[in-house]
Amino acid sequence: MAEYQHLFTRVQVEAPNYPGEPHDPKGVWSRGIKASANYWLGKIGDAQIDRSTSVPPG
Amino acid sequence: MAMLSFERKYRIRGGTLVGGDLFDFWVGAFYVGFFGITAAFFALLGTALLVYGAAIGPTWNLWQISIAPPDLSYGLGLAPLHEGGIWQLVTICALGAFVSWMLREVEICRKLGMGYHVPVAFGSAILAYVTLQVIRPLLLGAWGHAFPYGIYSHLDWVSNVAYQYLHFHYNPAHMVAVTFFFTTVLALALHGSLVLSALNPAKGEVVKGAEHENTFFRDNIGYSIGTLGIHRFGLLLAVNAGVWSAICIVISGPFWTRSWTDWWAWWLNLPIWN
Repeated sequence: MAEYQHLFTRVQVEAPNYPGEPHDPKGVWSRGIKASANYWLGKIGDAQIDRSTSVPPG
Repeated sequence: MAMLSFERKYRIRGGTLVGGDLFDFWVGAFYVGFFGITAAFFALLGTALLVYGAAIGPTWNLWQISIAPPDLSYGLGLAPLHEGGIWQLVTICALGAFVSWMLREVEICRKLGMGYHVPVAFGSAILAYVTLQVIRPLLLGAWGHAFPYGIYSHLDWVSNVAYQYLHFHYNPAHMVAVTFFFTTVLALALHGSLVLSALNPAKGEVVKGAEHENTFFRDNIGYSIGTLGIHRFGLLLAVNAGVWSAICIVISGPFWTRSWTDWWAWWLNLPIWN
């Protein structure tokens, strides 16, 4: 049963960053993401850190 | 007590630590087991002793009933029943009940093939109690250093012990412990409110899930720890709160006897400003 005893994520999957739910009601801003993955955050939770989650109009 | 239709398949034989199949049964919703018997025994005996102590004491006022530990002059010896002996028996019963409860959790985990995270987490609360009532009195050489069992009297004890170190809030481990307690509360408030907000959308809208929860926190603070991560983080915070509480009290007395403000002299004496 030792496989259930780990507290930290042992295998991290590399995947595209999640851009987030579309705005509702839809405004002039749209979802567009600048994010990176942090290995050590991924040990305990989600690895994705966002620098911006939405892009201004234009 | 009624059993839900799917409950029966989770009521599996085995996984016991002590007693084999003898105590492997349920009473209503509750799994019993050897440690269920011992937990009930210690809890009932301890409560009966507290009531007896109240009966021979000066008051039935619920706030003022107090079962005090022996006088310091008894050291680490056994005291007569009416002079702290009840406190000693109650403490043994409390330890027996707490540890029984933890081991009963272990047996339930084993039955269900789960990890031992729940009993381990409960262990940090037991550690804090054992440190206050057993380890620190042992190190200081008298059971009289433990706190009394009473609503007001234990608060008076906390106040009194704190003033023995002049400013207890300057205890660095106490600072860490308090920070963990408050952060635990903050994390659970954020987690609970986030889940409820996703599950209670505006009228006519579908229930939201983890994607909305993640998006809320990424819009809010640029990071979402995730559905699994928040529970790991919460466990980490809560267990640390108990562990640092134990550390902050065990160093007060056995390892530091002066004012906790004095401890910070090393900071004032740093060569940078001297």
